[in-house]
Amino acid sequence: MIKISATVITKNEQDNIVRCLRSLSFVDEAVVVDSQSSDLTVRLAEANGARVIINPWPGHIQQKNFAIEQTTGDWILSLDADEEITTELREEIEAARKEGFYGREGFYFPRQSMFLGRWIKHGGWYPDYHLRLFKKESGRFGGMNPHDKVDLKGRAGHFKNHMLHYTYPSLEAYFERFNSYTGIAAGELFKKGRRLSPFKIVFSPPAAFVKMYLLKLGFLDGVEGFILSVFSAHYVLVKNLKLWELENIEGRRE
Amino acid sequence: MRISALIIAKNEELSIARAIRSLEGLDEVLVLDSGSSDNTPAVVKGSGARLFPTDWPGYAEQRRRALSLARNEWCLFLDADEELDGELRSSLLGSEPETGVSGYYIKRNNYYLGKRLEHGRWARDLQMRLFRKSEASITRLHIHEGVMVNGSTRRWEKGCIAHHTAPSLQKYLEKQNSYTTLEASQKTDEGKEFSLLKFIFSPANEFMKLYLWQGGFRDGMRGLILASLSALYKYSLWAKIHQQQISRAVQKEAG
Repeated sequence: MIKISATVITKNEQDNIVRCLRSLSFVDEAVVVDSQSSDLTVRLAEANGARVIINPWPGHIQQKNFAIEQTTGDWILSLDADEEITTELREEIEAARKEGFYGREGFYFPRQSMFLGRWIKHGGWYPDYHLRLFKKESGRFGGMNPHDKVDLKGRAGHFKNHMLHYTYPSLEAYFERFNSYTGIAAGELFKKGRRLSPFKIVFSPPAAFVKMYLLKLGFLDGVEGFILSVFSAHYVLVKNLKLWELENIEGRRE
Repeated sequence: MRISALIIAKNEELSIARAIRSLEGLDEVLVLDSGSSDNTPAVVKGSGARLFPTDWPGYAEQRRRALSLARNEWCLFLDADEELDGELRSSLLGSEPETGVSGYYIKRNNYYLGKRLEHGRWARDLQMRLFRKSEASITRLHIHEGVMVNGSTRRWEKGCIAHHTAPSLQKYLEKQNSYTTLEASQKTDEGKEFSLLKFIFSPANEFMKLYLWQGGFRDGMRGLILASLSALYKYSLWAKIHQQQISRAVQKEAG
């Protein structure tokens, strides 16, 4: 039987790690690489069957690849601490393993995310495919921090069933990320020499709303889908305002 | 007159030196620092003010603490993102309070993203900042705290405080995020409930009020930014009230 090793990188994930590791009970080995949590993460991980290795934070991509190096399995299942494998997905993975993974080198599966206590199924948030299961010798993390992705040598397949993503424990956490990502995005646009027109400032937020709420059927997600679409429109607005800030305010340019 | 200027601060290394410099010549300048992780303490010491390291008991309590540490009867509250203009400072240094007066309102001009705002509600206000500490009490108003003065109060006619509300959008949104969380739990405590209508109309109403009725559009891009982020404030507030209701219901179910 092909041996699967699960890897999870953590820092202060005591609210998430148990749920995550329990969903991984079917794999042959679970390795948690912790970058010096000050909470109960390490104890909870060990109590739930993981082998824990402490490694100071070298960056997302580096830490995920470090975790892979610590495993003994043939295949890697790399999860984030706020994710969970569903029973259906687990059965799909186990069935594929029996068939030698159908000759593929890796697999994408859909990810379903929670917002304000509701699973969001439309508005472009689903299926949100991620490649998280791959042959160790064929895949390593690459990309640009903090957006890592697996560079795979060879062909990947797709699974039907999804994993779960407990993205935002609170709206405050949502807006923290909103604030930092709009800043990063505006900085990237500025470096690329993108400039703003007043037209864009006024019309791109409503366009983002219409796209998510109507065209991508966000309205099917009820009140939460509506709120999310409103905030996504503001994401575009704030990104543009921060770009305006970079262009116009003395001392904001680095 | 002999005045104790009091500043409460945390992680204000970028603005606190400007505030302290504007207080030069006042009898006492005291900064209560509640555990800054940046260079605030060093900057304070370097600019000649007295540093008092302490913890964070909440806004109102911290103000009371500052008053109890002040050595003069007349006290002046200043925030780290504010400064006195030259006229205000020299008038404070050169004049005595009128007899029978316990407090003075000071004019304040607000600056946003590096430029003075001219129009709308946010452009200028009056702040009770200079008062006899024996006649003052600190009360909580809304999410902010205020000074209540016993006895007669006047307006200080000379000079202004300049308030640099937001050095950057990043900082502004950070503050907004924590204020909306605070206000949402207060509103939920008061029994306010989420409704889709409020979520839709209170931001729209806020935007129209600030941008159109109060003339914010005349502040150009800054007016537009302030009005639209104020609308986002209302959206976030109502969404957070919704979140509070959900989580309180879950807790109830769990017993």
